[in-house]
Order: sequence, then structure tokens, then C-alpha cells
Amino acid sequence: MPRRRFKWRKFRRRKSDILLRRYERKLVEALAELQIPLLLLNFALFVGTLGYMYLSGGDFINSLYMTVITIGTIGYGEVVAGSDTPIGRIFTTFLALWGIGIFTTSATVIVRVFFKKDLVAIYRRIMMLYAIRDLKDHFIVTGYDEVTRWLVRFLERKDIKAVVITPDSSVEEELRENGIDYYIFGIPYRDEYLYAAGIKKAKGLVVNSKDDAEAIAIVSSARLIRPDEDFRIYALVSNEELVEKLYQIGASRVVDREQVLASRLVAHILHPESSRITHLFDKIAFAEESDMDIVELYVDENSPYAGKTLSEIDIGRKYGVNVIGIRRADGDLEVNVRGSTRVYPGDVLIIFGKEKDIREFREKEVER
Amino acid sequence: MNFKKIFNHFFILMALTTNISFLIYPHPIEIVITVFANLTATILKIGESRALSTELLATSLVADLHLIPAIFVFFLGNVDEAISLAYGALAANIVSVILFVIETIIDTFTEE
Repeated sequence: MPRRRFKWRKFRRRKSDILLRRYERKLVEALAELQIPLLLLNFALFVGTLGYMYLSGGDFINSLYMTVITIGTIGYGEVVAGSDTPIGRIFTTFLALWGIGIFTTSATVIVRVFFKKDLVAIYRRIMMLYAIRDLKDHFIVTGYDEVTRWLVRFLERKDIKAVVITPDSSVEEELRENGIDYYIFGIPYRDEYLYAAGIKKAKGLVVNSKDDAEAIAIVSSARLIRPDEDFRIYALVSNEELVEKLYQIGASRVVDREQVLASRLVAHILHPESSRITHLFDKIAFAEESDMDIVELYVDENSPYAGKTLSEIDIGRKYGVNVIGIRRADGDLEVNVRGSTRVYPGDVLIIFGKEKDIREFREKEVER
Repeated sequence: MNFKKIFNHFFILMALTTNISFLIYPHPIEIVITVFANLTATILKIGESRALSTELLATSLVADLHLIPAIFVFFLGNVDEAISLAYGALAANIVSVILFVIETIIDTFTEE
């Protein structure tokens, strides 16, 4: 019978926990500074108590009390038997001489460790990383500025959680004031921070960086970790030349911030007479304060809609949503759709309706 | 030779041995030394970041929380109650020693 061989292996730790372990190590290191003052304090209490016990013939409680009031500079008097004798006073003198020093030094070190090392901040970051570890289908946003604030706010309205990674830890107060619940301070293109932000379980990443090299580094690092198409990478850039490069290294969508602003503004300029409609479509398209939504549905060969007319599909009556256009497989956009319009495999249906109706439609027809 | 390790291991064992000696001969000085050894062992485990440090600290705290009431109960006259609490601390100290042996083995293999 072959003998089983047992091999010792190093325990492999999850990459998402690297940052968590680092913070935990920081906390432990800060606590380690308490060792010496606590040891000295313990030793002073032990020697003092044992000495007074010897003098008093074993009165522990009063001996401990006498030691505490001596090294704590309280000095209520000689409360233990034997402490008012010459030997007792010699002992108290020496105990006070080094005991008071130990007590005050220890108290100073303990207070310094708690305040200077900012144990509360380290503990808060550990708790934050544990909370991020539980997130799923969230978005990671790198960089912090006005755009990030709006972005997180809009995502929150749609119940999508966002984790912000920024190297600037001085904005912590501001982040909390702006209702950003999840944040990590670190260099966004470094793997450990992306892992800590839950990139493996995230739905997407938004790169909001004004530094071109940093944007390239973040997109490439993220794409190397998540090469799958399900993970969407959106990049917001100010440099037109960067757009193509970011697409090449794996960005799903690159937005030129100046171009977007200009095109949105042009929409208002060109349609001044229909500003309400422009505004409504704006809100729907950009998922702002509106209960209306617009989604696209790809019709493949196995879809129950393939080959049917819109009146046969009849999603308007079933769910209260409407097909307002069809992008045909050859790229043509058909907006004049009627009940007799037929749907073919490869088409994309553009569906418009109330958010809750769209959700119901998606749950019952798309995700079934 | 790692002097910190010697110091740590010395007090872990000292916590156990002084506890046993108090149980065999319940003397006032014995219990004071036991409490001192246990508190020292606990303090030495604060800030350690080795494989089983958390578990070791937890067992030490258990022993302390048995022995600190035991010392007051003992000097207030209830020796039986103090001894029973010291038995509880003994159990925690034994677990602590077992954990420290396991940790030493893990350290030996992971240091390679």
C-alpha cells in the first residue's frame, strides 16, 4: 500500500487582503509600543505589593492600595501595617523614587500611542476594508474631485455602491461629509489597492485621472486583473490623443470630458424651443433625477422576439414599456416603428419606460 | 539566540508552572507571583504578529480574568473559590502552551 506523503505548504493569502493585513500589521506595531511601559508598570506593582506584604505580614489588598497611591503620587498616608517603621519608610522612599518615574513615563507613552499613532484612524480603515470586502457588483472610481462626487451621488441613486481610491488622505473628512461611504487611500494603479477595492467582484472601474500616464497605468493594471468583457472600464480624459491608446489597452469606453460638456451644451443651444424635451432626454440619458429609463435589448437567434412583429411581442401591454426604435444588424437606426414592424436576429431594441416597469421587464424577460 | 523569544517563552511557561504551584500549595505569595507571571505573559503577547498570536493573547486574557478575581477572593477569605478560579486559569494556560508549541512548529517550517 503506497504511503501518503504530507507536504508542508505556505498558506496562501488572498490578494484582496494584502492591504487589510498591512493595516492590521500597523495596528499591531502601534500596540507593540505599549509593551515596555505596561511591563514596567506591572513590575513596579508586583515589587511594591510584595514588599508591603512582607512588611505587613501578608495584607495583600492594603499592600496593593499602598503601592498604587505611592507610585501614582496620590500619597494618602501609610495605610499598611509596617510601612510606618524605619524599614517601611526606606522601602517606600525607593519605591516612590523609581515607581513614580515608571508610572508617569508609562502614562505618557500610553497616551502618545493612542493619539499620535492615530489608532482610531487605523482601526476605521481596517473596518472599511472589511466592509468593502463584502461588496459585489460595485464600481471603483479612481481619483477624487468634483466629478467623483457627482458620479458617486448618481450611482448611489441607482443603488450602486462605489469605492473611491485616491492617494490624498487629507480629503478623508471631505469624503465623509459628501456621503462617500467607501474609500481607500493609495496609488490607484497598484494592484494591492485595486484588489482591496474589490476589483475581482466589481462591475466596473471609472478612471478619473488628470495625469495621462496614471490613467494608462490604471487601465492596464485593471485590465490585466480583469480581462473579461463583463468588467467595464470607463476612462475620463482631457487629452484627445489618449482616447485611442486607452481603447487599445482595454478601456470599454473613453470619454473626453471637454467634448462631453461641449456636446451637452450644444444640444441645449440647438434646441432652445424644445428645452423641456432636451432636458427630459438629458435626464434619462444621464440617469439623473428621473423615474424614466431607457435600455437596449439585443435580440439573438434564440430570442423569443426573433421573427415576430412588435404587436405580437406586445411588451407595452404586459409591462408598460415601449419600443421607441430599433438598431438593425447593419447599423441602421429605425425610429418610425409600428405594431407591424418585424424584429430580426441581430437587432437591438431601444426600450423606453418607467424605471420600475423597465426593471420588471428585465427581470421577467431578459434575466429569466 | 533570540532573547525576546526566550523572554516570551519563559513567561508563558512561568504562567503555567506558578499556577500549578499555587494549586498544589495555596500560599498568599504564590498567588501574587502567579498573577504577576500571567500579566507579564499577556503583555508580552500584545503587539505580536505571528501565526497564532491572536489565539495566544486570547487564552492569556482568559487566564488573567480568572486569576485577578481569584487573588481578591483569596485574600477576602474564600480560598476554595480562589482555587476553583485558578483551575480555570490552568486550563487556559495549558491551551496557551499547546498553542505556543504549534506556533513554534509553524514558524520553523515557514522560516525555511
